[in-house]
Amino acid sequence: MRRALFLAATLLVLPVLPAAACEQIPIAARVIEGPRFKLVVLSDPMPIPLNAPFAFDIRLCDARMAELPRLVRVDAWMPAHRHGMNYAPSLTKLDWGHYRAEGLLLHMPGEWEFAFDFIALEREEQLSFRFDAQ
Amino acid sequence: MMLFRVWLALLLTVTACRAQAVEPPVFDATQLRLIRSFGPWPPAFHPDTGNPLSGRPSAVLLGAALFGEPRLSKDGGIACQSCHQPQQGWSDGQARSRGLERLDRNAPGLLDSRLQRWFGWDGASDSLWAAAIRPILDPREMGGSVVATATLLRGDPVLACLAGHAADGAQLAQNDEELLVLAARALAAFQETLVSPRTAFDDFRDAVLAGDRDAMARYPASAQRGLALFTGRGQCATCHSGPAFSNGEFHDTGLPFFITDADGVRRVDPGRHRGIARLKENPFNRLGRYNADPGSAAVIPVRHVVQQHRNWGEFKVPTLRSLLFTAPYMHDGSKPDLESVVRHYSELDEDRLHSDGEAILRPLRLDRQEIDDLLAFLGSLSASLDAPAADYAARRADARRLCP
Repeated sequence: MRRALFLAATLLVLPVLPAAACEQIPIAARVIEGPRFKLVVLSDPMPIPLNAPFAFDIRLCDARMAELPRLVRVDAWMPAHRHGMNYAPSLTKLDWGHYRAEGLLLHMPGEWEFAFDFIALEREEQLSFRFDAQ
Repeated sequence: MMLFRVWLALLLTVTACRAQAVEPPVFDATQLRLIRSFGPWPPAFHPDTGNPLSGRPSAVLLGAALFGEPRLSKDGGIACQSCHQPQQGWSDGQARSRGLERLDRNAPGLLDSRLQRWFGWDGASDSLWAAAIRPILDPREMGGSVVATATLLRGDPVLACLAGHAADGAQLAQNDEELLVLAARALAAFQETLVSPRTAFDDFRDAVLAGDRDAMARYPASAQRGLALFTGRGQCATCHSGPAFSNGEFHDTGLPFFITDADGVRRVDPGRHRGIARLKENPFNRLGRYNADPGSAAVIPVRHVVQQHRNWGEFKVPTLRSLLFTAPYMHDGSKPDLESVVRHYSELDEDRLHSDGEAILRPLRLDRQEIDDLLAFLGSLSASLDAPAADYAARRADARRLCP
């Protein structure tokens, strides 16, 4: 109980993060609004290529420091085809709320869904967006 | 080659006559985008930065000499060109190839292989030069060895001379394994020069981009309808994409999992599933010490590829260019001609497919007209291979002149 009260107090007191990185969002970035924070995703190279490796620069914006979700997995699949990529992206934490996912490759044209799995306060959460690879 | 020209002319004429009354199709925006993506042809050359000999003319000559060299094999009777014959689209016309023993798979054609990401039906190699090592050392194929290859390269005055030129003034490797790698890199440099010629389809594709209706009209209406099916209802372009008509990846297309030996014993061919395991354990892969450019983008897929259950029975999507020369078809050579392949997709056995495999694979239920149209389109992706075959002969002659 005391631990829960402490956590609740922390959530109220601590600032949102990371303000500077999230103020100047590149036009080409994909912004996904979640219920408790915003995800800003930038591909490298841009735009997302078909059948060639690419990376994602991923930032969490407007998340409270104490509940800052931890990105644990990035993946993609084709809903209509019912299969995913042939590759497992690797994830590197660059800074608080700032990640880089390497090794993504969309090997077929069509609609893909990118999924970003988070853990925050031991609660799992997923944000996603769809992309038409051509 | 004359026979091929007559065959192609007959195919296009017959299919065109069968369907005289049917108009050419109108392509929608998605189809036009796909048609554009099938070119330009020929593609620009980009050297493999992981292979220091890639694109080096002197290495191409050594590679051409080694490609026809039977002494790389254990019994001195099998060369690379034994199973990769220029007039057969650099394959061998056999359902399953024969090296020192009968092998499990069909010899893939080598034209345009430099455009691929993975090599071999199971993608067990991640570079052309690593792929060149595999058959030399495989006891069922050529049965050679690291020591025998190095001894040949050192001891044969012609090959030693060519290797010296390929090394471009640098001291020739002394280590046996390094000499094997040198030979493989030269074989890759040669294979990079094997490019399919331009075809009737390429002229049509360029005419579409230029809006040249007169030039477009020269492409038979039946082939145009086949192209419409290929890029439309057939969804063939989902896997057969890009200028080489292959996404370079792996799919289960409903062929039997089993290989039957001469004695009737049936074995499973795991395909890509085992290919990934072999790739990861291969000391010559792009993560290994012999990759000359460990920071290149070509390393990324090797580092991140993962073995999944659905990889069982998956095989690489082959290029469709120069297809008419590489019969029989499929990884096991089980389809004797193109019509058998088209009928396979028309009558696909859905019960055989993985539950976690490609969900868009459905029997196409093609009628006679549609089969003919697809055949006309596929036929238009081939043209005479006289030029690549002549280039090979010329390179071997150049090698002999350089090092008599």
